[in-house]
Amino acid sequence: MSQATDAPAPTGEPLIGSLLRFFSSSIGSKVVMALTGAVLWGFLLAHLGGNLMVYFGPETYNHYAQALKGNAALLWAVRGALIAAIPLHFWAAVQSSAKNSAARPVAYAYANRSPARTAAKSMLVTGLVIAAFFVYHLAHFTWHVAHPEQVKLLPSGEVDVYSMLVNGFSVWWISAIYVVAQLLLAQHLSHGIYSLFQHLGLYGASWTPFLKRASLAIGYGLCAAFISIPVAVLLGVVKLP
Amino acid sequence: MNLKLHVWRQSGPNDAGAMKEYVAKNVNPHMSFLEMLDVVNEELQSKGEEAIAFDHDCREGICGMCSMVINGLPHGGHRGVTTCQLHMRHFNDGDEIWIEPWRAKAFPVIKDLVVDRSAFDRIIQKGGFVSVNTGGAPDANALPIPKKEADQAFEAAACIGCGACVAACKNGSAMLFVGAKASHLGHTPQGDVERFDRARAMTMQMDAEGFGTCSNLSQCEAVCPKTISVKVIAELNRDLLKAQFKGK
Amino acid sequence: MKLDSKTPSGPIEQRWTKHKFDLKLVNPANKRKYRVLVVGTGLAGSSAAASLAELGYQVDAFCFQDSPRRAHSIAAQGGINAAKNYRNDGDSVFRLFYDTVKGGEWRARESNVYRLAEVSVNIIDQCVAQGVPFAREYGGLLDNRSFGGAQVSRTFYAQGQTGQQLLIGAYQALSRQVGLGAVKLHARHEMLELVVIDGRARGIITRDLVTGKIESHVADAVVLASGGYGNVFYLSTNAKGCNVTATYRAYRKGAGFGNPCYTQIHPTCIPVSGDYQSKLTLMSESLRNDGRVWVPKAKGDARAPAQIPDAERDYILERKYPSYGNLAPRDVSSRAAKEACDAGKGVGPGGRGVYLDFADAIKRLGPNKIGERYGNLFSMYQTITGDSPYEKPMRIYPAVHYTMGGLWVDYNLESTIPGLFVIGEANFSDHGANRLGASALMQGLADGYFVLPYTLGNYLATAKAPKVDESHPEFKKAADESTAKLKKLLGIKGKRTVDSFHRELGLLMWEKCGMARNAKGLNELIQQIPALREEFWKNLNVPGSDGNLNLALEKAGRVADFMEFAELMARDALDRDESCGGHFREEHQDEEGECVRNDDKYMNVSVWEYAGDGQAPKKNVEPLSFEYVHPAKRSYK
Repeated sequence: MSQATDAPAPTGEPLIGSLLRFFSSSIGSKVVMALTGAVLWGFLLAHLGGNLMVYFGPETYNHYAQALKGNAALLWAVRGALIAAIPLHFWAAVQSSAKNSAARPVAYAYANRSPARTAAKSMLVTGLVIAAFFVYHLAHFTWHVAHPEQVKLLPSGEVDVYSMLVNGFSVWWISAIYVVAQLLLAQHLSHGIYSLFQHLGLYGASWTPFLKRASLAIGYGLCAAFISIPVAVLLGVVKLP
Repeated sequence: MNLKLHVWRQSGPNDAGAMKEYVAKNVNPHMSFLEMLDVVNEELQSKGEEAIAFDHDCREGICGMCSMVINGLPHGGHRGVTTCQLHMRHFNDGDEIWIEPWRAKAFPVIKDLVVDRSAFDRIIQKGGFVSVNTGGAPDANALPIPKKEADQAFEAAACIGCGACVAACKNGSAMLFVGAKASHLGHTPQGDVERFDRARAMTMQMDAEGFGTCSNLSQCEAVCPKTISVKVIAELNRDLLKAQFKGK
Repeated sequence: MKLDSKTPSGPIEQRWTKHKFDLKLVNPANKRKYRVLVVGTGLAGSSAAASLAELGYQVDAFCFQDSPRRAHSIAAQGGINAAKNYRNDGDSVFRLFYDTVKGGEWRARESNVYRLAEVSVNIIDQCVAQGVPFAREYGGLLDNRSFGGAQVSRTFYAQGQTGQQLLIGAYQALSRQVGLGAVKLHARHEMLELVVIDGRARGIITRDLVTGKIESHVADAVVLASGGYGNVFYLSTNAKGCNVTATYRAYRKGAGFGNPCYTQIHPTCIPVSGDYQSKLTLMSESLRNDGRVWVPKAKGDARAPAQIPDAERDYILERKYPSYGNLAPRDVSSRAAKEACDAGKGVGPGGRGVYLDFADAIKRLGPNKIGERYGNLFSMYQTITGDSPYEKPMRIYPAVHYTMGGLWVDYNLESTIPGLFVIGEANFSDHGANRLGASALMQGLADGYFVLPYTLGNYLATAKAPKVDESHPEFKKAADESTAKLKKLLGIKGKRTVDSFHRELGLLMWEKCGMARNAKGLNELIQQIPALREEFWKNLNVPGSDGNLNLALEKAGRVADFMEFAELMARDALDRDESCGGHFREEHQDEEGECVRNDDKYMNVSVWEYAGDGQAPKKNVEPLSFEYVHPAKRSYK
């Protein structure tokens, strides 16, 4: 008879299975992107906090770096989060991008003028450039393979992180790479922060308009703070003792 | 005024199409955009050529049938206006106008500016309803609905299903359309009962039809002739997330 | 032609209940063996298709638009009547019945009208259960407003988009059945012919508008819900696609056509602005709750409206009809506007317009309150005309809006062809000679949700018609005729476009069979239409082929039917030698210009029977009697 159940969702499926199915759907992959984006955003905030210690001088900064290295549990927790979040964020981006280009096989002859912020339209591009930069950044400051000549040791035998940073940013083109990457990150965050709330269904008529502006401010503010360090080095505000 | 038109012509679903040039002469500024095309079509037909095919019906902005991208903007991009309500007073003598069909994989072109939007119907068929049969409904006033909720339901229910949201979206996403239905029914107590199943069923069909995903660009909101807010997309996302843990 | 109205007897408030009990039922297990075709997916069609499928019948639904949701019911703005008496203002089923019979000038069947008023209350309940977001008050209960021809507030509404919201409710119910596989949907399909076998409606011929394929659909019953024929006037508030083809083809196959001359001219439409005009836009009647209709007292007064002091304005409706004022019924208000314009007092280009002024209401209630009530209508007006009604009065003029005539049906909504049911605007309706505002939505949904599902079952249970299939010669013949007609239209290769013919026909009809008619004009019209029709078939040019989407070809088929139907309409208008409601004969008016009926001769339904091409149609008559609402002069003074 016609009064059969209308619900198409399979019933009795274990939660884990239904979650997996959900996360591979178009909306689910966006949830993955939002959640991992939130993790990466949190990481950036913490990372910035550490970086800003450079303004307190070489001892404080080196001390912070050593303390961080000494705390293996924390370090690996953070690394673990990143190792999980980055590929998932990337996977979600690739999956929805593939779906999106398939959904619009023919372009308009007259360019699509439907208004949207450039930052929002170029999330994939900015994301990929940031990913490339991230590898370079690790090679530079973590693996010490990009510019090994900048690595000096402290009397204690540990790496002098402070001098490495000053030496690195004293080279104008290295600083330029960092500044450009940060500007792209600002773009990415200025849309990403608002977007992650939207994907998670967090909307309020009273606060969403504020969130949109805050997303811009946070994105650019965060990056301005990051950029201040190479600029300070180039201007001689932060220098070798 | 006189205008130069560039119009997408395509004789059938499987034929190749191309932009073709036409001249619209003596256009009166009080004409609607479709009336301007009527005049062009009359001239084409009196020359024995086939008229430019476009979908249209009510010509008062409510049936949702008219569908063309004008200079890169669905319905021409005036806030809250469909193509049939767009008047020529917004154009100037000598303007060139590009007219194209909705572009999306889920909306294949049938002919010229006419596209197949039955994907929208199939989404509604999966869950865009309240499962009540005729008869046996309780008194209409038996269940008060706060005015604020009813107003929100109405705002979302104003959707005319034209597909401008899909046409505008760089991803060809139908989230505004689906979200509008979820929000309309979700804000009434009658529709609340099935909200999770509905959200799941409609989005599964949306994916199956080949619509893209939402990147929160809000292009849909900007061109929606009924100015439906992307709020409805957030509400749909929320329902779907909750549906993973609730529902059946 | 035998006209048996099958009206039950007994006290009027018990007739429908008794009748429902007397109707034969189809066993639930047998319902799925019956196939029903529903042509049209407006309020009547969608609600009927959904309700029948819920009962278990196999239903096929057809619409020429790309989706059922686009049917023109969607454009109804103002509201839907129901005798709920939520306002405690003295409304009742009997009062709604009374108002409707009176509003229709005693030209509708009392039993039908009473049933309509009776089920009106169920409609609102059903719609709310479907999630239709009607306007509500702060306490959470439903809001109401007033409409023309009534002194109670019984109109339920959803801003100025009531038709849209109700249709979406019905569309959703229909979609649910499509999803469940109980309804097969055929969008972008147009009905070209009705197939009658052994005197019963057994199917239809359709054209797939995308592929051009001619298809045969076999059924046990056919339901026409194909709307009205206002587009015979070319310019009307109907959607561009609205047409008479389905009902006219059925008429040619033997269905009687009731009162084709009854045309509703809506008083508040945006005036015509030029020759290119493709349609007219209605401004909801609800605006007359707060808007005041006026013209300058002096002829040819060209001052801006704000420059004309109150003393030099003629508030025509308030002056002529003090007790109903600006809420006088549609036919009365339209004629008042025409009268003022004919007297040279019209405003705007060409002098075909009157003001609808909100200045007083804005002063009294503030622009916000007015915006809340009519915001979307005001912005619609501004989009079209470029003027803001907050600053300048609207300019309005009457336009063709609705047709009360249609295929004749009995109390069971069955036409004179057994198995052919007609619902909504397509039937000759319960509105008599004039429909009251907010009653069309009510009738469409009443027929589809609450009447047809009962009466159709009775037919199926009693018909016992033999099985037929598409190979039956009648199907073959009808399909061949449809194909031949399309080929013929394509083969004329003349000089004129379809639209040019349609415009010419429309203009003729508007001038001679429009708001005011007279014998001389109608006689001329009956000569002119065949001449135009002849030219149509000689000089039409339809480019393209019939093998794919061809909008000109679709239109040509529809206009070809309008060309024939127009003549029927003119003949009916000439034959009905009285004035009543939507049929105003200039010969029959009193000194104040009001309708003068002739109840002795015309208190009946004229039902026209097709007699063959080139033959004058035959008139049959269903007499009407009034036991409850006694005929009187219809006064709104």
